[in-house]
Amino acid sequence: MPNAGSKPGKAQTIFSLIILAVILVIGIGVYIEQFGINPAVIALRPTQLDSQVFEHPSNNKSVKTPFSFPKGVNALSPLEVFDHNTLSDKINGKADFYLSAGFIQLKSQRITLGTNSNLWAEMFVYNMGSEEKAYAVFSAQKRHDSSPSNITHFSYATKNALFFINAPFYIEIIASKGTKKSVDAIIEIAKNYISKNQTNNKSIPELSLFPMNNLRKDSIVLLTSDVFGCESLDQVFSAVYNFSDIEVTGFLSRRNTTHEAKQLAVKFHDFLIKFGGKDVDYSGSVQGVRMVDMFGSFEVIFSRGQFLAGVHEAESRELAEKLIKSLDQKLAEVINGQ
Amino acid sequence: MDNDLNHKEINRRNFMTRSAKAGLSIIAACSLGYGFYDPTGPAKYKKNQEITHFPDYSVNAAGDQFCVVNGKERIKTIQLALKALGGIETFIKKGDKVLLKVNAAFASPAILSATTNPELVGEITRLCFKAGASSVVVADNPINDPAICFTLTGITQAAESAGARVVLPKKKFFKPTTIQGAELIVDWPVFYKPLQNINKVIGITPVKDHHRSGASMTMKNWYGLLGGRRNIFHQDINNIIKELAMMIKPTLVVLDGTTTMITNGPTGGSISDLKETNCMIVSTDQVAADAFGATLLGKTWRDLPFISKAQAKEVGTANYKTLKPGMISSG
Repeated sequence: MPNAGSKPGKAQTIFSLIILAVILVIGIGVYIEQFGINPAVIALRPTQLDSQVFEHPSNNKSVKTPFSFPKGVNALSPLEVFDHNTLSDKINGKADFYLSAGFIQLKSQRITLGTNSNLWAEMFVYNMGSEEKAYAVFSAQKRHDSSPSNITHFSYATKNALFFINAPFYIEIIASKGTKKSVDAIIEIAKNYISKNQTNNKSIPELSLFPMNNLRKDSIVLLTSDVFGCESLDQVFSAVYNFSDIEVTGFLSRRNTTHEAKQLAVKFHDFLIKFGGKDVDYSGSVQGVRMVDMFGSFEVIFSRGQFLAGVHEAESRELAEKLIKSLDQKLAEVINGQ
Repeated sequence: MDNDLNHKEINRRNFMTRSAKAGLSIIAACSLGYGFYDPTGPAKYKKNQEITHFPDYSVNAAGDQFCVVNGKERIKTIQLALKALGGIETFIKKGDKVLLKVNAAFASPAILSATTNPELVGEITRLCFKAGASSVVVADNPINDPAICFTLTGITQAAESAGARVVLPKKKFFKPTTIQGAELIVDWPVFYKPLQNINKVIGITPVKDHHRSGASMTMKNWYGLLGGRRNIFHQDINNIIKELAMMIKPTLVVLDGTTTMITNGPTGGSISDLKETNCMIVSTDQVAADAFGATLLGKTWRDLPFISKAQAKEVGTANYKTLKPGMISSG
């Protein structure tokens, strides 16, 4: 035993530091784990039960709004703010769609659209973290009979609503009625919002990687997860091509490395085979193509540089091969130009 | 000798200082522990407070019935559908206390068809009273603010003007519930109050696309009876819908396919998400109603796993044709 008042020995110091380090690691572990507590445990605590079911986030908020509205437009309800834990309290079963795309926060508020109390709108501002993620939720929900809008580069209108991106935000303004008056009013609200919230919108490079011939321009969608049912496949842009009356879907995904793109092509091919697909010969000129007959439709996969690309559920083998060739040419141009 | 050396170097001052430090360390550790101490712990309800089952609200004498009426006008189609099933009197008798379980999940206007159509709520309320019902209660536990949801959907006004009473969820209206044979609805808070002292239950809901389950129809409508952080059930959506269907044996279900939300469900948001499918489905069999409803979404019941799961639990039949459905046109 060392003398009182004297310095502890080296071995004793090291041993003490090890013990402290272990305690520190345990402490960090406990701290991290407490964020992942089973929600069911919380849900059944009476105090939580009260708040989860009955206390709406709006109840504790003032009627102040972060949104700037044009003259004559007033807040009809308090601002509501939702994060990844509470998003489903607002949009229920659709929350997973936003969460899987990288959702950060939703702010929403109901507003008047005039003196008529039946005419109102709700504004949803989803912070998605980046323009690409905002584009993912924007493009995947695009309404088939919408009309283009010039509010922002990515925007469209329907009979009662306006949908647009003001990066990194995806914004919906939904009116209670599908009248010209209500649409005009929400367009004014959008213009006012954009003028007060200028952001640095960039272009999304992948959108220009699809060959233009026969491309349906408004069909490009960013699919963020479980693409075509394959868990390994994410961040895929898909686009529809019209060859006369026949639609063919092409897709591409930029990966971090050439190796990753190659590996993903193998994984997706294996996935298709596992679920009943059969390899068929590909006689075209594109190198490294795998073609799979999936119960009568054709899936085609290949990688070029750091891109994974292909054709999904093509009814015509010839058109699938035609699209693959033009996709490969376009990607080759991009890679050679870099 | 070490001991001798220690004795020599520890003086009284040294001893007192070290004792004080040790004492402070112990007090600090104990205080920290006390701070984290939860004397009650996660509370568990007493078993005798739990509900283990709800009564069977179906009418045995009515048997299995199913009817589809084509038409755009809800009042006309619901009247024709009920008439085809023998009239509302077959299901609602004098003195009955009726619950209309609506879908008021979102604070959205009726034109978006994300919630039960108020016109339909009003008409069914009137028909129930006409058949002799002594009371009609309209209820749901919306995910948004309940009062706002019921108001903005138009359901409150429609229900109250027809004489029904709207019951909004409150803390004391929930009880932990365990359903026999269930794996998810175990000790889970359920909105029991509107079902208390009720002897007939009619579910009324629109046909909607649903991001997780593929469709939201009559069986999914009972989801609005759950409390707590029910969103965790979205991870096992097909089984929770099956268990909800096991939980409630309704008198009737009314599946409103007049306007169907084809895309971007369950919230929708645009009129563009809707399609006029012009069908009113009324059935005593919720599985059969949903199986038919699937066709309005361009699907079959086999595309929706919760239907086959509910059928496997003998909640009803997915083969609605075996119920010899009446197919009527409202003209």
